[in-house]
Amino acid sequence: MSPEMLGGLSILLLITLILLRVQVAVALLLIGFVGYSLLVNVDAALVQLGSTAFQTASNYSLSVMPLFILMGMFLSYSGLARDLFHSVDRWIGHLRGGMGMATIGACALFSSISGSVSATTATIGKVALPEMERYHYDQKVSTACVAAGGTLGILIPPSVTLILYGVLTMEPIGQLLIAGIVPGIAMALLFMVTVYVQIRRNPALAPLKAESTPFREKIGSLKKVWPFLLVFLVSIGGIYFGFFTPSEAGGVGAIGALLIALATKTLNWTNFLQSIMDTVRITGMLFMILIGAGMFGKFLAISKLPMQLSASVANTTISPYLILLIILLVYLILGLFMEGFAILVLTLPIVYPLIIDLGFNGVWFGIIMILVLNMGLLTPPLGLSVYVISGVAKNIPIQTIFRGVVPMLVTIIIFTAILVVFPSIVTFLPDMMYE
Amino acid sequence: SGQSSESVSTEDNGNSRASDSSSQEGQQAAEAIELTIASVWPGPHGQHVQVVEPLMEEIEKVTEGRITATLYPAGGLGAPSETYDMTVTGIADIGYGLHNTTPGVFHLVSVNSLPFIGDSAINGTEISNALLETFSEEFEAEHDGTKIAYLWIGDGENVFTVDKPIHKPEDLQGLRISLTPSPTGNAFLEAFGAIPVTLPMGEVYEAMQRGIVDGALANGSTIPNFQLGDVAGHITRLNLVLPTFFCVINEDTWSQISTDDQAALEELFAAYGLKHAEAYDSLAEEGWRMAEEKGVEIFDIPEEEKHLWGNPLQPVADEWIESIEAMGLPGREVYEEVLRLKETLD
Amino acid sequence: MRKFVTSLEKGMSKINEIAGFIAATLIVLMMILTFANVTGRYFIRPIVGTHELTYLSLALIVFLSLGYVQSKKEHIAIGIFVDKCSKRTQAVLDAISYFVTFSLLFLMGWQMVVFAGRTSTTLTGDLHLPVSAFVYLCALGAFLYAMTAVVDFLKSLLKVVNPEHES
Ligand code: NA
Ligand code: NA
Repeated sequence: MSPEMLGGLSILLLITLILLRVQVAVALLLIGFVGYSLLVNVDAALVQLGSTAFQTASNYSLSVMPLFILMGMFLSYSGLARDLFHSVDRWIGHLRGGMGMATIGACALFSSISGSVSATTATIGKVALPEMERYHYDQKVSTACVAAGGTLGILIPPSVTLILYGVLTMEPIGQLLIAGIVPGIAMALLFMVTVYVQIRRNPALAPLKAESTPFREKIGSLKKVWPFLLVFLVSIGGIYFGFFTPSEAGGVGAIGALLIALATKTLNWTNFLQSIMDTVRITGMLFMILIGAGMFGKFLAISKLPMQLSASVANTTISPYLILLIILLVYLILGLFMEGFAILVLTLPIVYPLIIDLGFNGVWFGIIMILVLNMGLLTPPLGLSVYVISGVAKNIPIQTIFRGVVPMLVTIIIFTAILVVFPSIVTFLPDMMYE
Repeated sequence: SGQSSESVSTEDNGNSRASDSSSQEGQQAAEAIELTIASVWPGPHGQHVQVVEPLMEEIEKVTEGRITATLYPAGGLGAPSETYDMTVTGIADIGYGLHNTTPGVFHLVSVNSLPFIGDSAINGTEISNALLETFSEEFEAEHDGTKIAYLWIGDGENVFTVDKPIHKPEDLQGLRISLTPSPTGNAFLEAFGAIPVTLPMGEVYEAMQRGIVDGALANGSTIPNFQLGDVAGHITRLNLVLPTFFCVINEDTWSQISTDDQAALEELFAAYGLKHAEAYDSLAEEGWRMAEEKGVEIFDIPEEEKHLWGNPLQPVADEWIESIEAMGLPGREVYEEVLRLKETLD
Repeated sequence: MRKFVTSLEKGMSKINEIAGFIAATLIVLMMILTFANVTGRYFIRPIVGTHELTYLSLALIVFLSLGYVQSKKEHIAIGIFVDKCSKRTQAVLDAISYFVTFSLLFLMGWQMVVFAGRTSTTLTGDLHLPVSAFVYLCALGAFLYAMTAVVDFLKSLLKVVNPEHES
């Protein structure tokens, strides 16, 4: 059997194991380890098992994840985030799907400070899901809003993934980050439209609130919102005015949330302990999957399957748009099983020069890449965003979440097509800044 | 393509290579070795395109197809700091990496990381080549578990600042300057009253753009990769520290190569250190050009003022000698040889 | 046998609680360190070694949490199909899956011990901390996860014998 075939077969085995209720991280580890042993040898696979584990867990740039999760926990256990949602509810809750749209909006705002999908998803999810539960939102809709909104984390700047793309392709990082702004906002609006249309067609998904709130109460509700906004502004402002890096913003945001919760006496000792222990549990769960994905990724690298897939695309002489379509389909397939960083590292060396040869813009392709990786975050069996949500909302079955995000996936696909037809939506802002 | 996959399936990285392949393959294939190369650079980096990929072709040519190689760029098989360990353990047959990603492992080689050792990658590599020849036994002992193919030196670190031009050492006073972990970099900034801020290279661009730091210690060759020309207003060229690189081979892999092919490879390797250096110097040149196009002011320290920058850093070298001698290694001898080479090769 | 498994489970969950609490404490320290480093950078000076303390703590946080996550059954697994099987079938599948988990995590821990041995001289760049000390602690975390999987393996075996018994 050729290594490429083994790579392909391993993906089928991976799905089987996961469907047999083997822990996702363990299934990734097992296939990665056995595959690596077969292609190289057992000794090498053992070495990779140990070093991949430590290397994945000791990645400085990932430290922002637990800290943003912690910030979300503080805001959520202290009840401050609930106050925020009460306020939002008073403003737009009487609209159809208002709370779902507010969730997406909150995700978009939070994204602009986090740089990470998991952090956005966990923080807003922890706050928004119980609230939508209280208002009897259908679980498919409520989780889809968080899952889709969370993917804005790496589209709206800052974005650790876009920076990695810039380093790998030597595209200017500044332009890449700026390029994410307009598509990020447009994507958020399209997600909101998706929710609205869904609920328009089936009003039972999100019960309409009977009465709207008097204007005085709307204004009054803002009083409970200021602590949340303050943390938010300190984090955003800190990055935009250059007090700290996106990696540091997690620590500052978490301490800000803690101080405000203590000052307003909304966080007691028990809640504090619960916040930090919950953060530990979500962190351990997520990193174990990242470790498994790392081992599996190294096996795939050595099987050359990703490179082979990309290279076979290069050997055709058909229209650039058709080749682009094939490339995106390949990414979509890789995204089912692989984590975004691994996909970028493995395929960009081949795909990026090809994209440039075909006459496409490198900055534009960076944004297209993000959209395709975002779809991967929402698709089974390896859909990190969905796993994050199931980490914060234990009562919701994973399959419900995977079913719920389907309309959002369709929206991302449509938006990607729009950006292919009108690339200037991506490029006009960075072009303006740098000319 | 059938043949290439055959050779892949016999590829492995340990003692079993020879026995496996001879039992499964014909006579022809028994001699075929496919090397796994792990490097620290991203895919389209100049070091790959200009040096490593041509070397891979040369290897195939001089061994008449008996040895082929596959290149895995940064992160493909492991993190940059793991490159050496990956080569020792056979995850990779050949590893391209930086000595200073694993402080505490390479002692004598780190002489090259002392302040102001060379003026360019080529100059530094000439010094390092001569040093490797004189102290070959000690250097090989330090690269335990691998065979050194060759070593080389990259282009030096300089001061990039956003707003404030740095013409005199005292201009650095009170500035927050980012650096990747480096004892010499720390000592340099401390000596002139600047505040060292350790950041990963990938975060430097944003930190400078946002004003989180006032400047950075960075190499000219990183300008094209990290776009530092966009955010720096001034660059003071001083070649503070030159990074040292290795190309090493797994010992088992090396021993499976026939003596004839080993000789052919050794001959190839001899010239390659300087090719890497040339590539780094030309990348740095490109960086300077890009920076100038962006309107960055580039300042070179006048010859007669170099002592103002160098002398305060003498304790760094003294401490280095002391700590290396304490390990029973010839630190003083190596340092003095470097100074001598610096004079003669300038 | 059942008694033995129950007390083993109690013991492991106590140890995991402690490891998890240490991880939680490290997260709080990491938060304070990040904040102190940022404020220090402006008012006094940044804290030397923040970068390496952060990634080393992160590694400890991750590995010390793994057993805790396992004892709380929060490692992600997808039960769409298996949930519909008979209790005995579920127990058999779980037993196999926990055995695999134990084996892989044991190998991982062991390889991290070997890795630590190989890199015994590697120091961090700023504070010259021995990296291997942290790798050993991480290996300990992997072993805790492996041991917790053993408990779950034994519990699944008991369920294979007597699927109706509630534990
Ligand atoms: Na973001
Ligand atoms: Na996926």
